Amino acid sequence: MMKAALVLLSLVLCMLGGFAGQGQPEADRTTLRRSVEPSPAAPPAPRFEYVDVYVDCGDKPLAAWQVELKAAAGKASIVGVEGGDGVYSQAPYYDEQALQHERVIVGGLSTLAPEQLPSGRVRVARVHVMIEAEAEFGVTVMAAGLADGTRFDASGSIERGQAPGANK
Amino acid sequence: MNNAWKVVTACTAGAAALVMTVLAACSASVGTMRSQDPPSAVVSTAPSAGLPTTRPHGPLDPRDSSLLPPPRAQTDVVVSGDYSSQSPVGTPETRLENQARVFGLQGDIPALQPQNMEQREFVSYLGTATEPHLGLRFGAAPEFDLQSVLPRTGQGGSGNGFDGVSPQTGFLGQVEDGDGGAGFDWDGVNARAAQLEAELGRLRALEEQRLAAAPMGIRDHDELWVIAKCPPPPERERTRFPGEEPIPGTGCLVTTPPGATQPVPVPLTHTSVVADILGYISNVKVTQQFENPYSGKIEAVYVFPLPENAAVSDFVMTIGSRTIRGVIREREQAERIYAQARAQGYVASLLTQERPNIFTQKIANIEPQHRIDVTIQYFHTLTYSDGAFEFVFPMVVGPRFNPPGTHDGVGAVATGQSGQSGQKSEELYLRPNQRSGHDIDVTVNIDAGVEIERVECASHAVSIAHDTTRRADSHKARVTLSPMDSLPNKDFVLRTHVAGDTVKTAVLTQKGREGGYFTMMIVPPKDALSVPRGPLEVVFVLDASGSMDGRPIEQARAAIERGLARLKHGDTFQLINFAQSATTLGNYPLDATPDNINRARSYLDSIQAAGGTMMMNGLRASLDFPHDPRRSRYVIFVTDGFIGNEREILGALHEKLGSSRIFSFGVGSAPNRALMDSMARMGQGVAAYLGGQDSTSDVMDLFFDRIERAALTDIDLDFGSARVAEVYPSRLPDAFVGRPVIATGRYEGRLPARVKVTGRVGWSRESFEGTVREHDEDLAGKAVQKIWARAKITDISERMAWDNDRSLPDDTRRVALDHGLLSSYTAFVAVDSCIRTDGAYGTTVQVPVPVPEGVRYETTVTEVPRARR
Repeated sequence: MMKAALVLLSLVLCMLGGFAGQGQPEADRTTLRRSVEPSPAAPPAPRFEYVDVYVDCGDKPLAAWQVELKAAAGKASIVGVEGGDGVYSQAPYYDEQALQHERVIVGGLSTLAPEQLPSGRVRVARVHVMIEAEAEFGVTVMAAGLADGTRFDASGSIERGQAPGANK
Repeated sequence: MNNAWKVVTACTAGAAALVMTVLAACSASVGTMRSQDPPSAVVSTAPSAGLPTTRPHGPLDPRDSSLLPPPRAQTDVVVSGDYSSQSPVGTPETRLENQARVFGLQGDIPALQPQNMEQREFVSYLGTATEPHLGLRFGAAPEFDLQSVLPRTGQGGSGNGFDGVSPQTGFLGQVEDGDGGAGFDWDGVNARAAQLEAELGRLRALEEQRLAAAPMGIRDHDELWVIAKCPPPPERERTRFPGEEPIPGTGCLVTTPPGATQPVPVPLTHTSVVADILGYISNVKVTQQFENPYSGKIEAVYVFPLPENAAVSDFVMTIGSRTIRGVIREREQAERIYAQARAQGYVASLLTQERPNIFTQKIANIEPQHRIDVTIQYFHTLTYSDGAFEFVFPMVVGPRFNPPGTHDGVGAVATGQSGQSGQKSEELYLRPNQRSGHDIDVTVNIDAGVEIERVECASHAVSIAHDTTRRADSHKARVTLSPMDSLPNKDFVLRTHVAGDTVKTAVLTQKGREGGYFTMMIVPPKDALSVPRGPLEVVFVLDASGSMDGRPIEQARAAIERGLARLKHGDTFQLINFAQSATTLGNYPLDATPDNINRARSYLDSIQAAGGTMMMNGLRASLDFPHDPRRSRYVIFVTDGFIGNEREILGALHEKLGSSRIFSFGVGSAPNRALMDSMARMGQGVAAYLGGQDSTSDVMDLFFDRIERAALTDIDLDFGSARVAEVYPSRLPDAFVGRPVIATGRYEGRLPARVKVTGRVGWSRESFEGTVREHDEDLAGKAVQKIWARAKITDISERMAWDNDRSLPDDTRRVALDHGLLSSYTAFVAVDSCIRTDGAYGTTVQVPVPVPEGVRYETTVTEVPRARR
């Protein structure tokens, strides 16, 4: 008898629970459902930037150079390669296969006489990028050379910039 | 605001429909048209969806003014709606102006101002109505979705709101804002909508009563056309073709953009071509100069041709003194980058390939009066035939015919009818009396490597500088296109004749990262091909479609007639002509007897060019009959190749080819060389071209001279210990007298000094040798790898016509990306992130081109009638 009463009580409680659930307002249930589902947020629009690439060759005249620009993190796509300053103002060529891995290997040379070549910190290229997730860029000077073909050590650096009014 | 918009739209449609009926009744010039009738020039403001739901049965008495509110002296008119970018030609302002003319306005239509470019909406003040019957005349199905045309009184008013239906002006009502100035009170419109609906209901009931009393006999689905009373606005330009409306981008003779008083040129002002030729390899730089002559930003689009074997490997965008080298990307990715840059206001350019010989250049955000240059660089191999290297630069895409059911073809439509072809790609053509402001200059620097006998250009007027005074210069020449012949409407064809037997089999190489690459010209010595040919079964297949009308069909007939004369005793022949369908001279090949040849000549004379180019029918007719095993079957296609379903044709050709050899003769000033070459390659024959200035008898005689002797077939290449792979074409064609074969491949290991070529001539095998030039640093040496990659892409592309292997697109993509080449699956994109222009990307303007010289516009370009637009 006691057992039957307990069973009946359980059944009633279950039914009440069920009714309670059914009786919950539709809006509330919707709210509940929404609360456990991630809200689909639209991804932010990609933004465009440029990265100026510098080779610091000290007091040596820079006759040839090759650098690698690499995005260390995030998601960035190279969308154009522009020249730098002075004798390196023409758009440099890039390595097509490296580009498929978002590595930019670019290089340039000049046949001008040493006294006409730049020295110090030289802007050799400007790389245009589309950034979809914040990325860190780094540059490595793969080679720097004098007019006679002698290689020398040089350091590289970058500066990022964007157009006025660009997306942040 | 959006809700208000919807309410107004819904009310407007119904009300305007009702008003149409009333207006029809009130007007002295009322007409009804069956839906199949030709379109009239004037239509009411109501969109078709809003035609009366009740059956109009008869005209109302115009003297009965019980429905009419008191007439007004003046009404300001506002047009609202949204426009789509499906047919992106012209600014929103001009698109409205050009496609819908408003009658009954005081003065001319002022420029319309879009309200929200992103949402593609506009609400614009048009002007002041002075005529009682105001309407819009559509020159085409509007590319925008016109929502409503609303008047508002220009004289006083008592606050915002409708004040009833105004049938006399053809509009449902008015919105007053007191001062008659710009700006809608959409909330007010929304609040008054219910009131308006009630009023409309009352009017409908009245109308039903009147219509029932005076049946007119108009049936369901009839279209009701309202004729405006006032004369059309005066023509501001020259007399136009029927259906033609002025739009930006139609050429300097016809375009007057909003705000401008003088015609202006198209955005593509000039193309400059510089080619450096060394032997049979050419490096070509093409610079396209785009300039925005309009008052707003534009996106320029240009569909243009390049040689089908062009290995496009470099792309540079020049803005002022700055040059930005574009990057090669998977096509979808490049398109996405371009779309983002365009939407955000950056100057960007995109180069895509639509066909092996058709490309699209897009440049976004060109600001007014600004110029942007794009330079494309490619390598390609020249053909060598009968003692001459032939350099070809195509200047215009011929108008393609796309069979029913084709959607990925290349449409050919008139200017102002962008988007009407329903094809994936589209070329816009100038009308016969239009002239593009675009011109071209060409410079070709030739280093033949051997002594040049003469240089000739049958297609264009050129000047040739050929210094023969110094022996070292005897193999060089410089050719420049005459400025008097700078209209880009035909292929530029330059032939460099070199001394007799100076061209020998030779191999050029280039060392790559992963092994070496070579390209070679296989030139069989004449004595190796001295075996006379056996009997032939020659099938002439003549394209008699509309695009061949005129000079092309005359040339084609003359060529075939010459071919008939060159047949020999023991040969058989068949003559097939096709357009919409195919017809044959006989049920089976005929013996080449004088009687049969005369019969063929008469038949040939009776063929007229007309109709579509259903090449499939001609192909089937030419290959779907039993092959006579005693004869070699040569199938000769004589056509301009102006079709959009090339892949379908190549697939069918592969399926039905059997042992037939295919020879294609491209006819006209700008034939589809990609198709011609592919057909010949697949059929192990050769392609030849019969330009507008070429002698038909000479071209056909050379062909028959060539096949008088057996070809070198089943060619094998022996590179000694070097391992050779991936030689393209994968099925080496036969080498004929005077027509060598060019092959390209990869190798590993050390190449021998001489390569051995072996092939079958008749029943015997012949061998000869060629020299190897290793790792050149000159032009040829730099180009070999790109040429190989392009040949591989071409081979895969042709295989895709008949092979459903799903890995083939990926193979193409990989080869193109690894070698930095443009292909169907890759594209070049360049973005200038330094400057962001104001506002949205502006209006898309496609550069229209002329039809090729000798091609009739009327039979090739689609002029969509107004009723269908």
